Amino acid sequence: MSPASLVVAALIAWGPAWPAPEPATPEDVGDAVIAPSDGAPAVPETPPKFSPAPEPPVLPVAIVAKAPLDVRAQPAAKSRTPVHKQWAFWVLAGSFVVGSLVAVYVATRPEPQAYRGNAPPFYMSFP
Amino acid sequence: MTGMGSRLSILLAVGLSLLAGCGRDHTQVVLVIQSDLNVPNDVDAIDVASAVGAFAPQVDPFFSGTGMSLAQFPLSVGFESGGTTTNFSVVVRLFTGSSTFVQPSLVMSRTVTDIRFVSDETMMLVLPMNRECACVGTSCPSLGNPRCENVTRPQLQEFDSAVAPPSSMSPVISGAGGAGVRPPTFDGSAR
Repeated sequence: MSPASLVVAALIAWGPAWPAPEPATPEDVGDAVIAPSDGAPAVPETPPKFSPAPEPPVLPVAIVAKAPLDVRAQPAAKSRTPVHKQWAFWVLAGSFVVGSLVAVYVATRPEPQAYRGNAPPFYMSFP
Repeated sequence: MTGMGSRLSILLAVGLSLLAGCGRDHTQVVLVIQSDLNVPNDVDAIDVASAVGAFAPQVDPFFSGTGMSLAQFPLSVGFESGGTTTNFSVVVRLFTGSSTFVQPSLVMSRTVTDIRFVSDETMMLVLPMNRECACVGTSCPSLGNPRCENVTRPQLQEFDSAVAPPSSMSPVISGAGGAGVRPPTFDGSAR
C-alpha cells in the first residue's frame, strides 16, 4: 500500500474536515462538496439536479489528520497554585509586617527615663 | 509547618529578641531616706551633697536648700552614672526652720561613702535617718550608735518600687551642696 493511499484512507476514516452546509432540502444533500486542495483527493462531483449549489468555502490549507487524537491519553497539565495560596508567601509577608512594626516601635519608642527622686536635688548625673 | 517555616520562625524570633534588647539600661542608685521624723514639724528642708569617689564631699556650711516644700518621708534622690563613674559619696542633712528668716537648724546629718554603681542596674540604698540619730549639740550623728554612724561601701539592694517613692518628673537640679545663703545652726535636738 502506498503512502498516498494511506492518507486517503485516513481522510476517509476521519471524515469531512469542514462541516458541510446545512442542506435545505433532502435533495440538496448531494450538493455538499468538499473542495479539493493540494494533494487531497477530490471528491467526485455530482451534477446538480435542480439548481446550482452555492460555492462552498475553500479551505486555504488542507487539514490532514494523520491519526485520531485521544485527548484523554495525554497527562493532565500540572495546575499551578496561586502565590497567595502558598504558605511560604504568608510566612514571608507576615515576617515582613511584624518586623516592620517592631522596627518602627523600637526606633520611635521613648528612652526609659532615669529615676528622679522626690526631694532636691532629685537627680544627679555623674560622668 | 515544614522545616523551612520553622527556620523562618526561629530567625524571626531571634531578630525580635535582638531588637528588643537594643534599649540601654540605666546605671543608677536610688537613695531612699527613711525617717520617723515629721515633715514639716521636725524637718522642712534637705540638703544632699554628692561627689565622685570614695570620700565624703565637702559640705557648705551655708544651707543650700532650694526652698521647695519637702514631701513626706521616704524621700529619694536618683544618682546616675554615665559609665565612667564607678562610685560616689553623699552627705545628707536635714534642716528645720528653713521657712523663717533666721538660719535653719541642722537636725541630722549622715554620710555615706564609696557607694558603688552596678553597671546597667538600678540599685537602691535605704538610709535611715531616725530621731535617735538627731544631732546633739555639734555632734552629728550621735556617737556610739551604730545605726547613726557614717556608712562606707554600703550594701545596695535591688530597686524596690514598694520601698522607694515613685519617680517624679521634677526638673533636674545640678550641683547639690552648692553655694548656700545661710549657715546652719545646731540646736541639738529634733523638734
